[in-house]
Amino acid sequence: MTIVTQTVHSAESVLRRPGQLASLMVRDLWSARELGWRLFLRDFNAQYRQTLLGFVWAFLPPLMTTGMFLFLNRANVLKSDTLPVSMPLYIFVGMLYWQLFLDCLQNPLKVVESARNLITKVDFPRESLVIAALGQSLVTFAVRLLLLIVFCAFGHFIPPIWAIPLAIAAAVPAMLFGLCLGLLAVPPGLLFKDLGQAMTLGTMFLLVVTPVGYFVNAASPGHWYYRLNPLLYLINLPRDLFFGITTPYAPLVGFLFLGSLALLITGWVIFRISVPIIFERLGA
Amino acid sequence: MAERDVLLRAQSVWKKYCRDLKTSLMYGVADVVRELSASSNEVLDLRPHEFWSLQDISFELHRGETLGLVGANGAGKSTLLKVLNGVVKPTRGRVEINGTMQALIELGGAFSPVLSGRENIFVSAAILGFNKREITPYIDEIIEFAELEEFIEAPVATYSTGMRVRLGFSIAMFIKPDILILDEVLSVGDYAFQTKSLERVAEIREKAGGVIFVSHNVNQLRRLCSKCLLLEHGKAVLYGDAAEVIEEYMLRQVAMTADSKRKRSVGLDDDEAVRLLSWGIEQSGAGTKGTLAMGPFQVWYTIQINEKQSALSLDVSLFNEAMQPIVDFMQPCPELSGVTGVYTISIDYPHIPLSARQYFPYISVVDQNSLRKIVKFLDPVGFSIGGKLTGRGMLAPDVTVNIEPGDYAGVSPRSEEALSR
Repeated sequence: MTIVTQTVHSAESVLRRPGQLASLMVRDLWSARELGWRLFLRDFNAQYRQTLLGFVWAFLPPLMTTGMFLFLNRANVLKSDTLPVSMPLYIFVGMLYWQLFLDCLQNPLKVVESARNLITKVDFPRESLVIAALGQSLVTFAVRLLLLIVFCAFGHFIPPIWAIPLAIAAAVPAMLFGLCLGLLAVPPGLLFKDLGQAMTLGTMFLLVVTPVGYFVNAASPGHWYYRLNPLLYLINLPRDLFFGITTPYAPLVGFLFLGSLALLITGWVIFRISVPIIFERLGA
Repeated sequence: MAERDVLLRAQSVWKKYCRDLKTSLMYGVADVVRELSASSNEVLDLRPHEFWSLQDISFELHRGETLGLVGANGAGKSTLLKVLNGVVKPTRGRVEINGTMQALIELGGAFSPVLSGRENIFVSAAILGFNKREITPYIDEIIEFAELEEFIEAPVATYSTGMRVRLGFSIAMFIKPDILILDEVLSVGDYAFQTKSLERVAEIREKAGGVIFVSHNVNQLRRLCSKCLLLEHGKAVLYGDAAEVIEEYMLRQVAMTADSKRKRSVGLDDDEAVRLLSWGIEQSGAGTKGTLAMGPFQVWYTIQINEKQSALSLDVSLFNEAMQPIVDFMQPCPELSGVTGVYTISIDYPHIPLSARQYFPYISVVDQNSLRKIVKFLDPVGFSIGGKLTGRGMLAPDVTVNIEPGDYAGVSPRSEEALSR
């Protein structure tokens, strides 16, 4: 006997049947794997095909920001403590995690906007777009890790062997935090173009006020203010782990991880409900 | 019809839209909030700037059926397809789909221009829910069907519109859904590709699937559809037997253009050298409203010649719905040359065994020297021949077929000649 799948489209709010919604979400996420992967491959392959420098563009952002902070540190604009490792390497590792957070934050809106034509015409699991966005962020992160290996060799630094998987796993909270904010930004970002612009400007400001390229200690003026910034913990935990420095941030990051996870699921529900309604009104 | 044969059931589907973008976006925010608060979204009141794009649409699609969606532009066909396809939510009502459904609506939209045709096949297949392993066995067939063997490794940016649509169409065709939705896609592509695609659609239907077909091409609708739904201003005007619905659609189409055309062609420009005053169709000596019996009929025109013309001809035609000329001839008219005044031209058609379709008489008064058409007129209402449509033929003569027992007397010279070619 063949099993016939039944689909129903009705005006009823999907939240009226939370159980059904949850199972639909899981089903769609599962069926979105292949498409997410394909869309990621499509964008990844297409991204560098029309460039002269190709993959170099993947390396440039963390290199540029590292260079910027090195310059500021040399000029003594930003005071730093003495470090057990080389300063450029320390900043570069921080910038890797910062860029991962940033990509996860910005890519969902970009990917959804670029799929406008498709969304208004074909019914497919929209989750695949988020998977593609996440894939892009992760692969760029992985490619940048290759550059880190080169830098470590160059700077004669060998991280403790147990620290490498730990430092990679500890990147997950930063990634999730970026992704949940990025997902929540999709509906308002689609409605008002201002948000995309504000995000570009805002993240620049955020980079400056997040102590990734410089250091803050108890003696720094306004240090309590920095402590309100979750990115301080999300980036410093994996970085400290990578360099084998004792870190006090683990419990706090664990808490942030759980919070991000809850926010991610909320963002996902809002995304599912709002994206079709918004695109129905925006058109192709 | 058994319940298990119902592939798709639309029950009282309503959909509203907003004309103003900013207001629409504000309503969108309100709708999202309403959805998130899990309250009922079945609101039937129209807010300011809103209008009904679909009103109370109900129908069923059964296994092996092809349902045609017809209607003028803006009648709600595309909106209905989007609701069926799950791209937009109905404002009220319900659509039940039993099985897999695939819409063939501008599939080329997912193509990345810098990637090759082959790479794009995998992306499109994934959008349609098929992974690389599932689509790989069909790759060569898809490329062959799309007639793109030579270009498949080239970036899609270098493809013509026709090539893109062919590729998009071919991918979806090989996926074999239970329900296939075709929205005007068959209008792109050359004749050979269209024919091939129509055959493929018929194949899907024969494998006990269902097809929903949107087209303005009456011939394609007639050929493919068993049932039709006629939409007008978002309402279902007629739903049932394809031939009946298509005829009603045609009548409404021509009636719509008739109003505007009549105003344009009759009695408006007094300065014209030759003017058409009136026209009519008669059968058996009486005027007729639109349906004729098979047999002789007369088409007449009253014209007014304001300026003398040296040499005039009449160009007379009778078109079918596909605007193919069934009758077409040119005749010099010395009676109208060098004169002014009002004249009546009557054209008497003998018994032509026309099939039961819609026909449109055409006339033009031509200046023989310059071949300029001084007045031309296509009757937008036309007439239909009553009776039952028996097939695809343009003519329906009384053909008799005789079958008798007989002996085989060897190959006839005619068949021998044909076989030797």
